[in-house]
Amino acid sequence: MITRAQGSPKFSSPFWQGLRDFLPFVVALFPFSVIVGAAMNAASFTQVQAVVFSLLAFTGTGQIVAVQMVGDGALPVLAVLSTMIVNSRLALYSASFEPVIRASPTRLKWLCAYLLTDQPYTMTMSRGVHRPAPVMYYLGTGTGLWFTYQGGTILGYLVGVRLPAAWNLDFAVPLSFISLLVPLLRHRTQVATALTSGIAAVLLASLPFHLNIVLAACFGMLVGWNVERFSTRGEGGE
Amino acid sequence: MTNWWIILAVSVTTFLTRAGFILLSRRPLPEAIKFALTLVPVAVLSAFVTPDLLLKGEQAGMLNPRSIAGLVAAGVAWRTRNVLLTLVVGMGLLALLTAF
Repeated sequence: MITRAQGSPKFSSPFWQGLRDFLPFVVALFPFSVIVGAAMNAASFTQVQAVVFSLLAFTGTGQIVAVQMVGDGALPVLAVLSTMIVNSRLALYSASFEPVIRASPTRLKWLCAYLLTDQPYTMTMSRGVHRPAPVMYYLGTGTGLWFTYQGGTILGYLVGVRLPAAWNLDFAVPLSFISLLVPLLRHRTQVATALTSGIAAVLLASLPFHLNIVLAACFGMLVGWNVERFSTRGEGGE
Repeated sequence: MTNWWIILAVSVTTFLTRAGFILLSRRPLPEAIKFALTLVPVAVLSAFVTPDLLLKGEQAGMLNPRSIAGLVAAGVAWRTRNVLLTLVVGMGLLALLTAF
């Protein structure tokens, strides 16, 4: 399974490379995880519940949405439904990641599915899935995120207090997305996709449950696909 | 008790969302869909980021502390491809802009 260049030191394997590449993202995701932990505390989840929630669900945005809605006294069914809509982008990830993982054993597929999150997924896709051992690279990034998240949510739960809003810690996550997005904007297809999706997400921002994200993304993909179709036709195909 | 049910339900539905295509997919997808799916990272990231830059905070609009800090950070990301530097510049600039 591990395709490692012969004689290369252990720590240069794709797994370690993924883990190393993830390290800068700790700066963005640790504070975010702390915020998730604090939110669970504020919504009167017990310490055991908070730990189990992070271990089983492993979804920062999903957990924040769920506990905030429960804390606000929403119907539990609605809280679960909202997290499903917020997390619907994970289905898009799942569909586009499937070819990468098709040849892997089923047990590994379960692990990869559990770890499917924004940064590890995007990092693996933009690294190029034809480079050696994308699955091991993905597991490396996923491991980095997993430890960051579990540690951060526990700390956030224990510290408990709401972090001062003036610190703008929540801005770290969009910044980490920017650092992932910018290198992908190499061709007009990608630029058109990003512009469409971004504008659509702003225009649809008043929709409930963050529905704008997945709708805008689909709209952006549709425009990008058309741009690609017409530009390759103009250049006589690729 | 309600909390436990929510934990269970959110965990199961989240896992199914993640695993659906990975575990169930049997036949290869049509080429058009396959290509569209390569655009998923760009599309989702932009859908997340853009409203966050333009609509959040007290001074929402085209030019506000978040959008300026985000644009400069994007420039840093473009020039250096350095994640840590992008984060530091973005957070630092936002702190500066909101301090005054």
